[in-house]
This record gives sequence, structure tokens and C-alpha cells, in this order.
Amino acid sequence: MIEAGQIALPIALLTAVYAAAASFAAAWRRIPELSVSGRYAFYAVPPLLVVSSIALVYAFATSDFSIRYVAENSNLAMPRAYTWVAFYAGNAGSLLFLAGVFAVIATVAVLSIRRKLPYTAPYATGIMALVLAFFLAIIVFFANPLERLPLTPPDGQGINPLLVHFGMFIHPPMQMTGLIVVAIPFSIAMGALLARRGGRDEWVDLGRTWAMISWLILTSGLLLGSWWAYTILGWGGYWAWDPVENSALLPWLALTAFVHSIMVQKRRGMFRTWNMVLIIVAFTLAQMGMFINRGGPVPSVHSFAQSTMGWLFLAFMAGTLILSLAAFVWRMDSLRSREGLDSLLSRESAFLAQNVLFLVVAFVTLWGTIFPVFSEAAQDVTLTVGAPFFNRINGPLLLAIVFLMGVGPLLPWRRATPRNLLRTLRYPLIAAAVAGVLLFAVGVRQIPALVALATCALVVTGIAHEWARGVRARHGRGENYALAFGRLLSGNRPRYGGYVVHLAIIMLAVGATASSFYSAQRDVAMSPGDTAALGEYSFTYLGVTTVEFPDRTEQTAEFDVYEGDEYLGRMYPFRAVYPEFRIASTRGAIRSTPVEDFYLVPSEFNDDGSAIFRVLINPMVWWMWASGPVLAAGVLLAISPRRQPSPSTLRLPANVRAAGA
Amino acid sequence: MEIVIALVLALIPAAAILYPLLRRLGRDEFAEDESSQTAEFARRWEAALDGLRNTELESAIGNLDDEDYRWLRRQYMVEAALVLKSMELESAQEREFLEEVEREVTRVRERALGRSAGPSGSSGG
Repeated sequence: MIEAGQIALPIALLTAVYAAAASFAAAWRRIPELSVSGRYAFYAVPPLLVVSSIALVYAFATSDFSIRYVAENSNLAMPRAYTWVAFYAGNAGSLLFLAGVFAVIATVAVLSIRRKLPYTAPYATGIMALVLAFFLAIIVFFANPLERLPLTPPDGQGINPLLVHFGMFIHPPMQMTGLIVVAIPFSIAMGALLARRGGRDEWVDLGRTWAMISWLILTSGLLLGSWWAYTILGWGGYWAWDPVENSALLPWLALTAFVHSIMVQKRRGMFRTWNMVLIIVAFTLAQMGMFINRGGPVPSVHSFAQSTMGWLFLAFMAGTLILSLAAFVWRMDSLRSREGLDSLLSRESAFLAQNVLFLVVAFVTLWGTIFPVFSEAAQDVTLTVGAPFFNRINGPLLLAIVFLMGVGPLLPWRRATPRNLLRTLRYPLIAAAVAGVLLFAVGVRQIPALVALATCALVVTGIAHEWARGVRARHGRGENYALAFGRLLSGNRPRYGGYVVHLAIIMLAVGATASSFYSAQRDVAMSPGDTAALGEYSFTYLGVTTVEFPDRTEQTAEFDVYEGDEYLGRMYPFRAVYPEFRIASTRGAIRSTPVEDFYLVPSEFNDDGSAIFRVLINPMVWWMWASGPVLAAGVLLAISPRRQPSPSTLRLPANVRAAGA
Repeated sequence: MEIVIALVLALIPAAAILYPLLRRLGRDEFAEDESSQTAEFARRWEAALDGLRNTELESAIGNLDDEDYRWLRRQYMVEAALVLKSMELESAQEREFLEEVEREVTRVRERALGRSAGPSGSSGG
């Protein structure tokens, strides 16, 4: 079994190289059978990678420590359920995971584009095959997860303790998949560009769909990563502007700009050059994310798959960037917009402004992330940039983006008069003002928080008002409210799906704002029997239970928690020490409600049972995690295929000739 | 044993690569250009129709005042007419298309948002 997996890898590499070469040659020389051959070769890669993946799973399942990767990332004490996590816990396995998942998803992408974009598809297939070949080459030549050790150890080193968490079943795969899947809309866009179809807009629908799929996966990865950090890293927060967190955020920012801006190209035939730039930037930043994750030069608490092969990813990033820009310059003459901006007061102008803001946030984040490298090069001192820098610069920019998120969709395409804009915005503005006054009355006195939450109220009211008008109109025709609402949403799915996503972003923004400005924290030393308080909460430390395992010592504290006089129940914060890894894994005990989280986490236990605990009250964090399913529902609604409402009489006759042609 | 495994595994891509070459598959691979003039017209036509439908929707739910509504509607009708003008259609056929566009946007309004009448002067064109 292992041998089959080992042999499948170089065969997969050769096949991917052939797929790239054949697809490019076929596209260039218009050779149909070569195009089909290249595509079929591409389809042949996933089965080969499935064979290798099964071999690795088999090695984990049978604790075959003759395989270096298995010995380094598992041991006999590891629960079998974590085999899935161990698969991608190290560099080599995560590369195989990346290659496998990309091969499968890209195959679906090739199937989806080959009929609709016959001239673009071979180039796009060639680009995807090149990306795949890069990963397979690294696996085969530098990081083979099925490589055997000269001697078989009796037991393995075990999995990284920080990965022994439920969130690890989903977060790393989502994050890695999100970064690599950006290659699909990039390939479609570049394929169209190389085929001289970038200036036409046929690729836009499929490019947008795949960009939104990538965006959803990347967003889910970011959210799950924040949740994991919140529950297991034990510092009470969810986002620290760490380089690895930033490296996942950077392509997300560019991709968010792209999924908005591509709508303008679809509607108006504008922003063609801009969209190409955005997708090149998104793909480059995604590769930078992989580079930072795998041996990049900036220190991070998250680089669990770190390796010394960062330079390979850097070289690949530089190579693809140079080639993309060369193709962009070569074909730039084909990217002229069909129309220009009619007015600065229009939806496309709002999209453009929002795009610029996203890129500025991305630039600020990139600068803050790589600043340690520059400081080291210039002064021989590694200066890291902390959260205050990012919060101070990015906070207002993100607020401006949220504001545009509220105003932009209420503007019509092409042009709006100021009077019309004010009329449309009157209810959202009133709601924002009322929300501001109410929040001030209940004690929200920090101006940035007040402005941010009032802006969220503006966005929600704008969406709710539009939905209410639509539902009311349909209700007037005799539909009940639920049916009217359902049909309103399904009648224009991209639009209303987008609104649902915006609502999810507002849930996220409310949680982030409230918890950033109004969390309370206390570090308290307690002995069994002690009672302490924070805010309305009081908590009694009952004692600690210690359990020894072969690979770790687990200590679980026990608390009785009250809110005022109301008994809330017993909470169990937990800490495990892994001597071999020299790692302590803490897990906070969290009582989460839509209003606030009460969060308890231990620092270190003394022999007499006393310990220091960090206690936090984090307002409205619940909304951040609840936004995930809403966001996914919105994206799925936005990309779900719509029924074609146009009667056939409205279709233009086929094979018609252009006048004068 | 390893040679046998390698041969069996290599059969998968070998078959995938050689079969289209030997059978000369893909005769219709580049038959239809997604960027043909016809496709370009169809896309511009669809964009104009989408714009009209969207304008009706925006207007019906109150996002547009009369002036913006009429201006936008005129822009999209002009674009639709330009597409038809660029094609070698009989004038009767062209007129028929434009009339059908009018009927379509009325249907959109009724289908999406009930039978409320549009802003004054739904002719607009």
C-alpha cells in the first residue's frame, strides 16, 4: 500500500507537467485532440493523489513509524480520530493535502469551464496544471510524506498538542484550501487574458462563481481559526494580527474587492484592467500566505507546518507574479472598458471606492506583517508591529468599508441624483442616529465604538428597509409574508445573497467592535475555596483534578459561577502539559450568550492546588461565530443557479452577422 | 512487485493521455468561440436587458426617483437598440424585439413586486 502511494506521486507529477504542456500547446496551436489529451491528463491526477493519500492514512492507521512523517506527527497514544488532523499537521502531509484537494476542486473547475469557455479553458487548465505540478514537485523532491526512515522507532513523536482540538478538523483544511483555491479564478482570468478574451466578458460569470467559492472557503477558514485561537490559545482573544493570521487575511481582502468589482464588469463592461490586477494581487497574496506559513521570515505562533523551504514558495510567487504581469502587459490592449463611469454617485463608483479601501487595508496589513524583515535588514534589530498599529490604521478604513457596504447597494447602477440618494438613505440615517443616541444612553461612550455600531445600524436598516418594501409589494399581490420573502430572495439571488452576506459581516463587525472596546479582564490568584468577582459575575474555585497520561498531564479546575444571585453552573477550564513538546495547551471554559461571554482560563497550577486564572467578559463574541452559517448561506444563495426567466423571444437570433461585417 | 504497481498506476494517465490522441477526439473543441461577434452581441443584449430589469426592480421598491428611473431606462433602451442596429435584422424584426423588451420589463415588475404601476410615464424610452 505504502509503495503504491510512493510510486503514485512522481507519476502524478509527470502527468501534471504533461497536462500543462499539452494544454498550453493545444491552446496556442489550436490542436483539438491535444487539448482533450491535456485535459484528460489533468483528470488523471486526482485518482493518483487519492492513492497516495490512502497510503498515508493507512500508515497512520497502522502506526507505521517506518514512515518519517508518521513518526514525526503521531504516536501510539494519539486518539485514532486525530489521524485526519495528523495528515496535515506537518509540512509534507499538508502539501499532499493541498495538492490533493486542489486537484479535485480544479478538476471540477475544468469540467465547468470547458464548454462555456472553449478558448479560455485550455490556457486555464494549463495554469492550474502548472500550480499543481509545483506542489507535486516539492512533494516529490523535498517533502515526501511517504519517505521511509532507515530505522523504525518503537513509537512516534506525537501530534502537536495545539492541534488536538475539534476546530483542527476543519480550520486548517479550510484555510489551506482557501489559499490554494484562489488559483482557480486566477487561472480562469489569466486563461481569458492569454486567449485574448480578457477584454470580453465571457469569463466573468465563471470567474465570479469560483472567486466566491474561494472567498467562502477562505472566510470559513479565517472564522474557524479565530474560534480555535479563542478557545485553545488561552489568551481570551481571537485575532492578534499575527503574521500567519495576516497572511490569510491579505488574499481575503483582495478577493473581497474582486468579487465586488467583477460585478461591475458583468453589468457594465468596465474595470476589466482593474479586475485582472485584483485577481493577480489576490493570487500573489495567497502564495505569500503559503510562504509565510512554511518557513517565511516572520515569527508566528501559528506556523505549525513551518519548514525551511520558504524560499521555494517565494521563488514560485515571484515567478508567477512576473509571468502574470508580463501576460497582463502583453494583452493589455485587449482590456479596454466598454463604457466609462457615468457619475461619481453610482453603485460602480461605490464599488471602486470600496475596492481602493480594501487594497489600502491590505497594504497596511502587508507592511505591518513584513516590517520585521525590513527592520532586521536595515538595523539588525527585529522590530515587530503590534495590534495597536493595525487597529489604529485599519480600524477607520474598515469602518469606511462598512459604511460603503450600507450605501453602495442602495445606489443604482450608472447614476443617482443627490436628492434620490438622500431619499433612499433617510431611514438608514435616522436609524443610525437613533442607535447612536440609544447606545450613548446605555453607556457606550467611546466614540469609535459608537460610530462603528451606528454605522452597523445604518447598514442593517438599509437592507431591512429594502426587504420590507419588496415583501410589502409582493404581499399586496396576495402572497403571505413568508412566501413573499422567499420569492423576493430567490428572484434575484446574487443581489439578495449579497445582502445576506452583508448581514453576516455586520454580525461579525458588531462582535468585533463590542469585544474590542468593552471587554473586561482580570488576572486573579486563587486557592481552592476562594471566591472572586468580575463585573456581575462571581466565581468560586473548588479545586483542581490532575490526570496523568503517557504523553501529557491534564489539570482541570472546577468553578461554581454566578451572575448576580443566579447560579449559572459549573465550569471547567483546563490545562495540559506535554513535556516532550515543551508545550502547555490551555482551553478556556466559556459561557457564551448573545450578550456576552464569561471566559475562564488557567495560567499555571501550583502543587497546593492554587493557581492564577485569567477571567474575561467579552461582549457579543457569540455573534461572530453565529455569522459563519449566515455568511455561507448568503454566498450559496448568491451563486446558486437561477432559473432563466427570459422568454425565448428575447434571445437574439443565432448566427446573426454584424452590420458591415 | 514495485514495477507491477508502477505499471498499473501509470496506466491511468497513459490511457487518459493517449486515448484522445489515438481516437482524434475533440473535433468540436474550438468550434464555437466564446468571444465571437454573435456572443458579444448576445452578452451586450443580456446586459442591457438585465439593466432594464434591475432598473424596474429598483424603481418599484423605491430606490429610484422618476428622473433617475427615466434616465436609466433610456440608457438601457438605447444600448439594446444599438445592439439590434449593429446586427443585420429586418426593421420589423428589430421593432418586434424592442416591443418585446417593453413587455418583458413590465412582466418583471409584475412578477417581482406585485402589480403596482411604475413611476409616472413608464414609457420612459
